[in-house]
Parts: sequence; structure tokens; C-alpha cells
Amino acid sequence: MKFDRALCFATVIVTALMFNSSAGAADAAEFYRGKTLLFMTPGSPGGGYDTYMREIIPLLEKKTGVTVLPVNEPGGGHLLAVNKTYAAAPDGLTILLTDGEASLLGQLLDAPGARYDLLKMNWIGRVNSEKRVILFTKSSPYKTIVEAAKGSTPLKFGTTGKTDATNIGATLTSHALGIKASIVTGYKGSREFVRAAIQGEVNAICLSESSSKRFSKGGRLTPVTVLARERSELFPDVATIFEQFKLSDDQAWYFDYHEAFAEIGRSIVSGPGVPAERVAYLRKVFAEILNDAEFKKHMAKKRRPISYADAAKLDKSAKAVLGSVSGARKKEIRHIIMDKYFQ
Amino acid sequence: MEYFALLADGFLRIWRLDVLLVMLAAIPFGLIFGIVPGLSGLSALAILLPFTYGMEPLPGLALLLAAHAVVYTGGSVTAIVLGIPGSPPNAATVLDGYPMARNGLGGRAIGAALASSGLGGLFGVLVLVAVLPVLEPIVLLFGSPETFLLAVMGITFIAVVGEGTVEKGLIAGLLGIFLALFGYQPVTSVPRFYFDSDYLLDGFRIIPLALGLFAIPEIVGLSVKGRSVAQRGDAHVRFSQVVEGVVAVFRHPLLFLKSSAIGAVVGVVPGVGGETAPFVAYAAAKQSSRTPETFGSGEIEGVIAPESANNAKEGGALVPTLAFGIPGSAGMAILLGGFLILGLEPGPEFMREHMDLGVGLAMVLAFANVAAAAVMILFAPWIARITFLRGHVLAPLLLAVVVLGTFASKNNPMDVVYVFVFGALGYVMKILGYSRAPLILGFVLTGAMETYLHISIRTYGLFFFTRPISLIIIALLVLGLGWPFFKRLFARWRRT
Repeated sequence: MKFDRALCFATVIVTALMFNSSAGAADAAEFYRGKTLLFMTPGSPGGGYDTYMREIIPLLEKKTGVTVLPVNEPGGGHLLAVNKTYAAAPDGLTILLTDGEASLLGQLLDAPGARYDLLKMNWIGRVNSEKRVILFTKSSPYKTIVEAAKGSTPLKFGTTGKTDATNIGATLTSHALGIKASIVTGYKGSREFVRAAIQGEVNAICLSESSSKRFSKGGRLTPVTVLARERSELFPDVATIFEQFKLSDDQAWYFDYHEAFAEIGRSIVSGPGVPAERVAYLRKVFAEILNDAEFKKHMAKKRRPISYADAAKLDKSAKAVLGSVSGARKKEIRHIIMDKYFQ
Repeated sequence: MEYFALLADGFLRIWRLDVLLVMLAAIPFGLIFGIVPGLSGLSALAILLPFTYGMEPLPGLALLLAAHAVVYTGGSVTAIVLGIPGSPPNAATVLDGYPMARNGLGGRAIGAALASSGLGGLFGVLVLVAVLPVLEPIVLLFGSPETFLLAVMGITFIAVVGEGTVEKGLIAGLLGIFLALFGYQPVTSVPRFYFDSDYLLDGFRIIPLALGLFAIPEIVGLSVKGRSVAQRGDAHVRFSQVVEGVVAVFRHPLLFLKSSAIGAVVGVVPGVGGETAPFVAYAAAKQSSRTPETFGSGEIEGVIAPESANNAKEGGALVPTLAFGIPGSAGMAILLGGFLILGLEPGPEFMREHMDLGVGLAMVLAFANVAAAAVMILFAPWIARITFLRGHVLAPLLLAVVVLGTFASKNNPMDVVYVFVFGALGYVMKILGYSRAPLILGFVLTGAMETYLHISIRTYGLFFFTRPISLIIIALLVLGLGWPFFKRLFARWRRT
């Protein structure tokens, strides 16, 4: 009898919760219909971020009935767009396709001008993330990453900026393997330092796997290792850093930490304080869009692959990068990324 | 021989109904974005970019390129008629174009500007066509040291482009350099002088700066005095006056060729900035002129030089864009986005596989330049009449256009605030006799100079300037700066 009553009570509670949650979702759907949503990106018109954003917009409008206003907000090393999203009204009508690595690093290093806390923001879903590959030029003094780790001639890496993904990969790898390296920052984008690499200004670069595939055509740049535990699908013949070296736990930590950075990739995020049902609704809608087979095929054809990850995974990665490091470790990372190779 | 067949094929490719239609739609669009201050070529491209989704490559790229190519043609007219650069690269045209309009010679100045723009654009296309088969080696000639030295070459002209004394030119240029130091610095990844403000995190923007410096003082002047821009001459501008301007370009063939060549070379080198070419061409024209002292008071050579360079640089800017996918100018960066949207990846492989498309794009550039100049020349007499409108009619209209144009460029109300801040600065400079052009030149070149100096030293060491092309640039720099001295020396030597 007692059990029956408890069961009955539980059923009522669960039904009420289910009803409440579906009512919440219905409310959120109703909220977005006919509204204008600002979809921000730190990329300039025509760039990778912009292309992803503009390809998603028609599907988002169709699914939700919302009118989407695309906003390109480049500048401040990609921090400006995160600042604006963080400070936006907490109504769920501003979302950002963020540069995960730059945003995480901005917060980790307390970069001047970074006014946000990613741990308080709402992850919606990941659009794309890629493994990082190190490439050497023909003018490089080394043919393999193993030779570079043993050699005494410094490797010259070309990067866009200190807080850029290209620099994080180059500096953490150099530190973990004890490579003598010198980093040259200031190139406007990967294409410019690929040009510099071909000219011999620099002799090593760290790029995403799809960019590496593009630029290694013709044989002027050679991929030497993949900075991940598993091989890249685009470079099945290139051994990972874990395969090429017998890494100590401490060395492995830097590569795992770097991979956690890369995990966030290009993700969609909204500011803090947005009502939970609206966040849940946006997560559901983006999961549907980014898992749609047709859309994935279409984007792959455009060389803009989709690799969706849900909010829970992104949250875990953000916590791994921002929450798991001690003060001393943070100081060390700051030194490696910002100072060590710039003397 | 095979290449000539490709050229012929490229020429025929643009005579397709869809390509012609998109070009005919893009040209007036680009012209309007050039004419209205604040609405730059970048805004035009950003607006047109989404329309290319789903289009075929040639019509899609023709839409973007044709609109972008003619923006500066439209902007030259605003610079002459109102003394306000329609787009930032037209700032150098204000120096002599506006005084010509004030002297009642607006029609002549417009004719010269449009003819130089159209022909300069054609020159840029010829350069592009000539180097298409060897794009890659050409781009590889210019590394970071050469980019730095070209930026230095540009910045040395700050003392030359001003209409006041050399000292005042230098002070204005230094002020421009100082303003360029605000905001995020890509080499160190640290923002400077940003006062904890999001707006300043990325530094000052060129559109509020250029419009504030040039437009606000003119608007104040027009409203206070109530007089028209043209202070003499006949309000009924005749077409013959415009034709005189067109003919003037053919009377200065060397100046035209030199200025266009400067534009094309600056365009080829990514990183120097599109605003630099017209200033360098203007300064070179002034340096080599027999009457440099008349520059700034309405010299037609001061219109031909910057406008030829302005349009010629776009042909040059396509060189690194096609060869490596490295945009040669800010506009080319968006055009590059168009390539990617259309599923094309510029680079060495692209030129091997799609040389025909490269030739087609060159033809689009040629057609757009000639068509835009021809259309504008037809309307020039009516446009020139704007200079005879009374100040109290023109000033409020201009103010509205400047405020809306600035706001529309980025949808940021702070830009409008800064138009007035820089407007106050421009007004004070005007009253005290400081030229505003060197300030713009200092502002646009500082970033490139700082970044590429850093890269050059890090990659080649302190003797980075000993590469062959660097030495040639240094020689040209010394020759350019010392030209008046060498001329005097040569004259003395001949006398003795």
C-alpha cells in the first residue's frame, strides 16, 4: 500500500516535471518565434567563422522562426566578440560562434581586455574542432620532429599572434619536447605564414588538420606529427606525437592539455544568466542542425567540416583547461606561451 | 601562344548574359558606395558576399570584383566636389581636387580623376595579365623586409604630401602614428592605450578618422560662411570642361604611367595597405614636378597621380590573392572569402587548374573600370554643379550623409561620436595650417611598419635590408627623398 502510494506520488511528480519541461520547451520555442537574434562571430566577412555562421543561419531561421542578424565583430585578438556576448542582455537573443582557443587563453592568462568568464557562459554546441599538425618546410634544418627534439639549431615557427591556436601548439610542443625554438608572430593569417614558410622566413608551422592538408599539397610543406593521442583521418600515415616519443607523464600532460584547448574549437555560446529553457531549446535546435546528414555533407563539400559536440562535453573541456590548473602551473603556461620563445 | 589563346578565351568568357548582368548591377552599387562617405568598398563587399552563395564561380566573383573595383572611382568624385574622401584611399585626391573645385574647375578635376581611375584600372589589369603565368615568383620576391621598407617609403612622404611646411607635415604625420598605436597589437597580443574600453580595444578606425578630419571642418566652413564650395566660375558646368580633364591625363603620360606602376606594385605587396598607394603616387608626382610649390592649390597632376594609383593597385592586389590566397588589400580579403564560398581555393594549384578563371577576373576588372569611368563622365557636368550649391543647403545634407555613412559602416554609434572628436581635431588643424593628409598616411602605415619590422628582425636579423629587392627599394627611397637635391646638383654640374 505504502509502495503504491509512493509510486503514485512519483508518477505525478515525473509527469509534472515532464509536462513542465515540455511546457518550458514550448515556451522557449514560442519566445524565439518572430524575434531577432544576434549571431556574432569574431571572424571577418568571408573567413572561416563567417562561412560557418552564414551557412547555419538559414537553417536556424527555418527551424525556429527567428530572424537572425549576422554580426562580424573581429578585433582585440577575438576577445571583443566574447566581451560583447558576455555583456549582452541575458535573454538568449545573442549568441556567438567563438574561437575557443583564443577565448580560453584570454581568460586563462587574464589577458588585458578580456572581460568574461567562460565557466559562467552557456555552451550551446560545437560546430567544428580539428587536431593540430606540425609541418616543416624544405628549408627546415630537420626532416622529422624527433630530429628537431635532438638538434641544437633553433626551429623558427611562424604564428599570427601569441594568443592564437598556431602559437599555443608551437610553444607547448617546443617546451614539452625541449625543442630549441624561436617564434615569429605578427603574420596576418595562416596563408601569410605559409607564404613566409615557402620563402624561408620561417621553417615550421602548426596548423589545423584541414589547413595542413591544403597547404601540404605540392610537397613544399611536410606534415611531421599530429598533436593528439589518435591519428588524423586526413593524415593516416603521419604518426602522432605519442607514437613518435616515449613521453613522460609530465610531457604527456602538455599535449593532453593542448588537446583540451583544441576540443572547444569553433563552438556556439551564449552569455550568462539566460533562462535555462531557452538555453535547452537552443542546444536542441543546434544539435539537430549540426547533426543533419545533408548539412554535414554540404559543409564537407565546402571544406568546412562539422564535428558536433554537445554542451556537456564542451563544459568538461572548458573546466579541464580553466579549472584544473594550479596557480603555479598557470604561471608556467603563461611563461611558455607568452615569453619563453620570444627572447 | 597558348597563353594568348587563354587570354582570348578569358575575354570571351565575360560576354555571357549572367556575367554581364551581375556586372551591370554591381557597378552602380559600387559607385554609390564610393560616392557616399563612410560606405566604403569593404561595406559593399560585405553586403554582396551572401548573394554569391549558390552562384557559379565567374558570375559570383564578377559581382564582388566589379563592385569593389569601381568604389574608388565613385569616391574620387566626392573628394573633389565636397573635399571629403568618398572612401579612405581617396583622401590624397582631396589635396588638389578640392582646391580645383573651389576655383570653379570641378568639372575638369572630375574628368581627370575619372579618366585616370579608368585607365589606371586598365593598367593594373595589364600588369596582372602580364604576370599571371608567373604569379608565384613575383609574390615571392616580396617578403617581410620588403613590405617593411615599402611602408617606410610611404611614411617618409608625410613631409611631402602636406600643403603646409615640412615641419607641420611631420607633426601631423607623427600624430597619425601616435593614433595608430592605440588598441590591440598583434605581435605582442597586448592592447595599448585602450583605457579599458571595448571600442578602443581594436584601436581607432580609419572611417571615423578620415571623415572626421576632412568632412567636419568643411561642413562647419560651409554652414558658417553659407557660400558654395566653388567660389568662382560658372554654375553651368559644360561637358567640354570634363573632356578637358580627360584630355589632361593623355597630356601627362609619364605621370600616369609612373603613378599606375606605383599603385600596381603597392598592390602586389600584401600588408602595405591600399590607402598607401595614392599617397605615394601623389608624393612622387610632387617630388618630380617642376612646380612642386603649386601642389595643394589645385594642380591637375595632383588629381591624376593618386587616382591612377588607386585603381591600378586593385589589379596588383589580385596577384597575391590568386597566387597564395593572401589578400593584397582589405577588399581582397573579402573577395577571398567569396572564392572559398564558391568552393575555390586560390593558390599555386588554383592557377594551374583555373588559369582561365584568373584571366576572366582580369577582364571583369578591366570592363568594370572602363564602364564605371564612362558612366560617371557622362554625368560629371551635373555632379560638378553640386559645388555651386549654397553652403547652408549643402551643409545639413552632408552632415546627415556623413553621420549615417559612418554609422552604417559598422553599426556602431561610437564611430559617430569619434567622427566629431576627429572633426574637432581636423578643424583645429585646418585653422592652424596643418595638413590632414600626412596624419592619415602616418595612421595607415604604422601597423604594417611595426609588424613587419618585428618579423624582419626576428627572421633575418638586423641586416634584413641587404636582400636584393630591399636594396632596390632603399635606392628608390633615397632617390625619391633626395630628388630635389639631386636635381639642383645636376643643374649646377651642367652650368659648370
